[in-house]
Amino acid sequence: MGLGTTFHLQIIGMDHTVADLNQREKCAFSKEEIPNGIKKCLKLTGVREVAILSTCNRVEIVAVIEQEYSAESKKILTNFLQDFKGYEAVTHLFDYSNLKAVEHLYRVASGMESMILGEYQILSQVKESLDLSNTAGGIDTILHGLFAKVITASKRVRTETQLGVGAVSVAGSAVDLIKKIFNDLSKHKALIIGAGDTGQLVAKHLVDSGIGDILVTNRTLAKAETLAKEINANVVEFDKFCDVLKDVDIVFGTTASNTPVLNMVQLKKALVKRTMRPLALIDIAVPRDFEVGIDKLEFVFLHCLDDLQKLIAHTIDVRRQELGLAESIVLDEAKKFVAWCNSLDVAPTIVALRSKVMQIQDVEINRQKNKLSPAEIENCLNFSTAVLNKLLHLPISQLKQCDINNNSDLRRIKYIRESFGLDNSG
Amino acid sequence: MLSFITTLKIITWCNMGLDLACLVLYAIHFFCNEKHIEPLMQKLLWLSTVIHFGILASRGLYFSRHPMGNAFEAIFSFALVISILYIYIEKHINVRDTGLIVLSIAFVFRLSALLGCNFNAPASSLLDNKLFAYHSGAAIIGCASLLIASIYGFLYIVLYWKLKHSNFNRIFDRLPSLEILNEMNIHAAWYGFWFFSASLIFGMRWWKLQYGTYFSNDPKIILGFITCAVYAIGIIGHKFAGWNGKRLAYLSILGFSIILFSATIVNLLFSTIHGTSY
Repeated sequence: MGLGTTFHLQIIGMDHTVADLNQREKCAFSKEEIPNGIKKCLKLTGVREVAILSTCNRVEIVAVIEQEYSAESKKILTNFLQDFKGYEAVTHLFDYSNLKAVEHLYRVASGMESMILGEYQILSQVKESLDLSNTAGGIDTILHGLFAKVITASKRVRTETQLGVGAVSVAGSAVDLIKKIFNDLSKHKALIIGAGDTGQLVAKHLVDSGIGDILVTNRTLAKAETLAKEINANVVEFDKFCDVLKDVDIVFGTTASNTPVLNMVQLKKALVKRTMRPLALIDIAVPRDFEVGIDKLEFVFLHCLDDLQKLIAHTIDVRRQELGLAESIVLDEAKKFVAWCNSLDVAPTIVALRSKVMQIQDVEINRQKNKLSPAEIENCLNFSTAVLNKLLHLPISQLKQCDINNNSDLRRIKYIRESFGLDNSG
Repeated sequence: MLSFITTLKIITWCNMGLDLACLVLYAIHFFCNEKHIEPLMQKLLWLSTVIHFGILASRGLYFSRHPMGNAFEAIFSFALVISILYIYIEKHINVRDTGLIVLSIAFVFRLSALLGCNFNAPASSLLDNKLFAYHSGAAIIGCASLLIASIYGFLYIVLYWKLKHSNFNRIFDRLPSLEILNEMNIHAAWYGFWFFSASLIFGMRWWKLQYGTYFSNDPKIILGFITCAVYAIGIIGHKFAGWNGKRLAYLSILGFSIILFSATIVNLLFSTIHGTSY
C-alpha cells in the first residue's frame, strides 16, 4: 500500500554501511550535478517528485512515483542512477518504500544512520539538498510535506533524547571535560602550548565554548602570533609559559615535542603562587607534553588522549542507549506523515471539513443554550446549518473536482486543509 | 465529622504521596534526562513544600504554640527546611540533577517522622521558654543547612575522584561542575554555621538562666561546640587561606558526621538534656 491512493515514496541509495569510500565517491552528486540529475529523473515515466541527497557518507534518490513498489519500480531509479553515474559506480544499493522510506529519511536526518551516531550536521545537509532539489523543480506537495516533517522529527529526536549529547571529537570532549571542572568558562583563562593543527583546533573549540581569555605559546613565536591573531588571544614566550601558570585554569598540551614541556618541578613551583584553585591539564600531544604523575598534586586534573577516548566511548555508549527512544519517535512521526498523505485524498478532506464546521456550530450553539429558549435554539440551528451548507458548497464542489494525480489539485487540497486547520484538529 | 488532627493527618499522608510523585519525577529526570518534565517537577516540589509549611503552621495555630513543639514537628520542620533550601539552590544554580539526592533525604525524614513519632504528642514544656524555642528553631535550620553542605561536599568528592581517575558514567554525566558543588558546599556551610552558632548561644543563655552557669558537661553540648569549631576552621581557612574544594568538602562531611553521631549514638548511650527535650 502506498502513501496516498495513487502515489508511492521510494528511496534508493548507498551509504557507509553498504559501500566503501571508492564506491561512494563514484556515485556522489556535486551541487552542480543535482539540478541536472533532478530534471532528468523527472522525465522518467511515473516519477512525480524527486530530491537528491548527496553527502560524504551517502547518496540517496528520494522520489514520489506512481507505480506501486516492485522490482520494476525499483529499476526506474536504479537505471537512472546507472545512466547518470555509470554502470560500475552503482552497486550495493539499498532501497526503501513508503513507510519504511519515511522512517529511513527521518533516521538519516536525526543522525541515527550517521557514521558517528547522533552527528547533527546531517540535518543542515538534508536542508541544503531540499533547497537544491526545490530550485531544480523536483519538489512539490508530497516531498515538501515530507521534508518539513523530517525537520520536525529530527528536532524531536534531538530534544527528547540524548542522541546528540556530548562531543565525539578529541577537542570537543576535552572542552566537555573542562566544563565538569569549571561552571562558567567565560570566567577562566586557558593556555595553549603549541600552535600547530591540533592547537588551532583546540583554540577554535575553546572560543566556541565562550572561554574568557586565551594565551598561546609556541617554540616558534611567529606561529603563536599567527594563531593568537586569528582567535584574538595573547602570546606568551615559550620559555616563560610557566610564569603564567599561576593565572590560568586550563592548559592544553599540543606540541610535537619528544620530551615533556611541563614537569612536576615546574608545576610545583607554579602552584606555590596559585591559590587553591583547580588546574585542568589536557594533554593531547603524542608523545605526551605533561610529565606522567603530575596529577598527584591536589588541585591538578590531568587528562591525556586515552582519557578523552574513554570519554568519547562513554558518550557514544550513552547515545547508543538512546536509540530505542529515538526509533519510537521516528516511527511516531512517520505514521503522522503517512496519515497526512492519506488525508490528501479528496473524501477524507470533505469529511474533515464538514466535521470541523459542524463542531464549530455545536460549540457556538451550546454557548447560547442558557440564554435562549428551546424553540429559539432550534431556529438558530436551522439558520446556521443553512448558512454553513451554502458556505461549504463551493469548497466541497471544488474538492470533488480535484484529481489527486494532478499536483496542482493536490496543492489545492493541501491549501484547503491548511486554511481550515484540518491537520491540527487531531 | 473528622477531628482537626485526623483531617491534618490525612492531608499529611496525601502530601507524602505528592512528595513521592515529585521524587519519582526527579528520579526520571536524573536517570533518563527527561528535560520536558522539569516544569512539572518544580511545580510539584513547590506545591508539596507549601502544603508541608501549611500543615506545620496550622498545627501551631490550632494549638497556639511553637510549631516545632514535639518530635514529629521537629523532624518535619527539619525536612521542610531542607526542601526550602533546595528550592533556593535549584533556582540559584539552575541545575536539577542533585534534587533526587537532597529531596530523597527530606522524604526519608518526613516518612520516619510519620511512622516513628506520635502525631498527637503534646508539645515539650521546655519550648514555653522563648530562649529555648529560639535555640531549637536555629538548631533545626542550622542542621538542615549543614546537611545540605555535607551532601554537596560528598558529591564534590565523588566527582573529584571520578575526574581524577577518568571514571565516566551516568553519575559523572549528571553531576554539576566541581565549581558549583564547591560553591554550594561553602554557601550552605556558611549559613548553617551561623544558625548553628546562634543555636548554641541561645542554648547557653537558657542554660545560664536555668542552672546559673554557661557551661555544661552534657556530651551533646560538647559535641555541638566541636561541630562549630570544625566549621569555623573551614570558614576561616576559606576566607583567609583560600581553602577550597576537597578540603572543605571533607570538613563539611566531618562536621555533619559529628551532628549525626550526636543525634543518634550520643542520644542513645548518654543521659543528656537533648534526649528528653522532646
